[in-house]
Amino acid sequence: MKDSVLRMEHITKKYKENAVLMDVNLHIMRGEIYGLVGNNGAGKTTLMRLIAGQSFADEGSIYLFDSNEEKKNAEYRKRMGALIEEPAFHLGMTAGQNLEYFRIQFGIPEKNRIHEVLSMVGLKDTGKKKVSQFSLGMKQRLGIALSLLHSPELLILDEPINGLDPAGILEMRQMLLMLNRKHNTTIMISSHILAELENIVTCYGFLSRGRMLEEITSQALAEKCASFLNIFVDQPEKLCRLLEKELGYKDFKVYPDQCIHLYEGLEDGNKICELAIRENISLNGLEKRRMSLENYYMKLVEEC
Amino acid sequence: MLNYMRSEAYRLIRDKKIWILFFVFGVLLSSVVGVLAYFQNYAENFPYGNTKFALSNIYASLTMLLYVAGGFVLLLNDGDKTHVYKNSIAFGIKRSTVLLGKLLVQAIIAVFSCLVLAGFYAFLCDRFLLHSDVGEFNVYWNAIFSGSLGLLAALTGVYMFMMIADTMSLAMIYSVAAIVVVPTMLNLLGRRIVILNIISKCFPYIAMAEYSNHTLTFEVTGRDTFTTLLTGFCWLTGFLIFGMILFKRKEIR
Repeated sequence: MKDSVLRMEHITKKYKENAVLMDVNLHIMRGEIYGLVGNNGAGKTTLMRLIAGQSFADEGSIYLFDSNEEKKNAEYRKRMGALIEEPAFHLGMTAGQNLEYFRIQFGIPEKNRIHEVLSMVGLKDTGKKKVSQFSLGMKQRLGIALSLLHSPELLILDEPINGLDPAGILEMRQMLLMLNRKHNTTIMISSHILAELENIVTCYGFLSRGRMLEEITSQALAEKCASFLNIFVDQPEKLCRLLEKELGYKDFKVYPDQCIHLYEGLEDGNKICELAIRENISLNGLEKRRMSLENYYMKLVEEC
Repeated sequence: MLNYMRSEAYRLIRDKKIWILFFVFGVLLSSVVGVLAYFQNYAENFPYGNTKFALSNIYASLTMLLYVAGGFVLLLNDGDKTHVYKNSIAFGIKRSTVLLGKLLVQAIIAVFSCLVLAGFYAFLCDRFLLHSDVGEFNVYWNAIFSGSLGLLAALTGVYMFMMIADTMSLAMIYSVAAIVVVPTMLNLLGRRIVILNIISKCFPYIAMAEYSNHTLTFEVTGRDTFTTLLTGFCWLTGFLIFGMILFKRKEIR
């Protein structure tokens, strides 16, 4: 049976009078790759900063590694690696020196661990180049290397593919999958590039305006991401009235680009065409599609 | 704590700024002695080429060393605009360990630097200048001893403000206000209001200034030494507690 590596209960965080997180509950089980999805300002980074101890919740509790004592969180954080917001390093030192600094600090006895993690992120050839001369992508890679330095059981990554080129994104995905499958590392990852999350995540948490809308496994999400008919017409409002009146369809949504998403009657394309022609509505396109993660999230936000 | 201090020592030893500072101060002190010795040897009736004058530049201006202590901390922490210690906290290192660990290493380096440079200066004066033989070396070393806690208090104060304030500019403003401006204002107002005069003497800046004044006439008493040490100790403790309390709940970005 899987055990819990992170449990957040009724978390509320306010900055002055502005609530950035409100009654958030979150659960991550061992071995999961948890994707935290939310738009800008949803509270993803704030949530991760609370987990990392860089900020404090005004209400609620955080439990790490199935513990029931928040006081021990500092100790349990030694089993956790984190890359939150911009990676922070001593700019006048090289990549190796920065990692050596943290290796000493974390009490890691194996010196060759530095070379290992630098190889994993593709930075083993930076030599004497100081971090001040690194590109954003290189700093991001170094941040990931640091989060892996002590072989953590739980990895918290806040938009780790920021600044990475396509090859880097692919390497990152492969590395995270390897860590999860080979070492059973639990990963919590946030990203704006939802297509990337879809490739690796096993469980999602949807956050919007400081509230956790839903936590769902990728399997359940796939079932929920219903197919729909994508209908392009010149008079969408008129067609919608007719769909409801003539065919009894009520589960549809109109988009600004004169597009209707119809979630029922998926095999009735012919009937819809006939209706449009009969009522002199110009039909520009009709196709069957599946809801993307972005659309699912947007629909969830609107419903809530 | 030990691991943290070792990592900080590793970082600071590799920081060129410390070595440049050593070199600059070494050159400065050598230049002072060099100029005095030159004029002592080549100018007629030059009254300043002696150990008393040279050493009095230090013991009669102890408050100047407060600025040096503050500047030293600013220099060592200048590169941490990105708050590298947030990685340490995310790893589970306690905030108190981060705060005290960094401070201790910097204080040790500061004390070591101070002693080495003070010794170097005393050596140069002894070697190249005319000996005044009025007990100036005793006054010099007593002054350094008496001012040590005040200097450490200034170093601690600047460091704490840097760790707590949101920007470097704010940290500098708070530091200068707490260490120099407030005691100076109190001292000035104290010329009219007695209680303020007494309060001003509780600040290291004023205590060290008064100590320095007494060194000029070689009238330093045990009470002066005790007062200077005590004010330094109280403010050092005060800054430590103040810093620990505020840093514990600081939002780290």
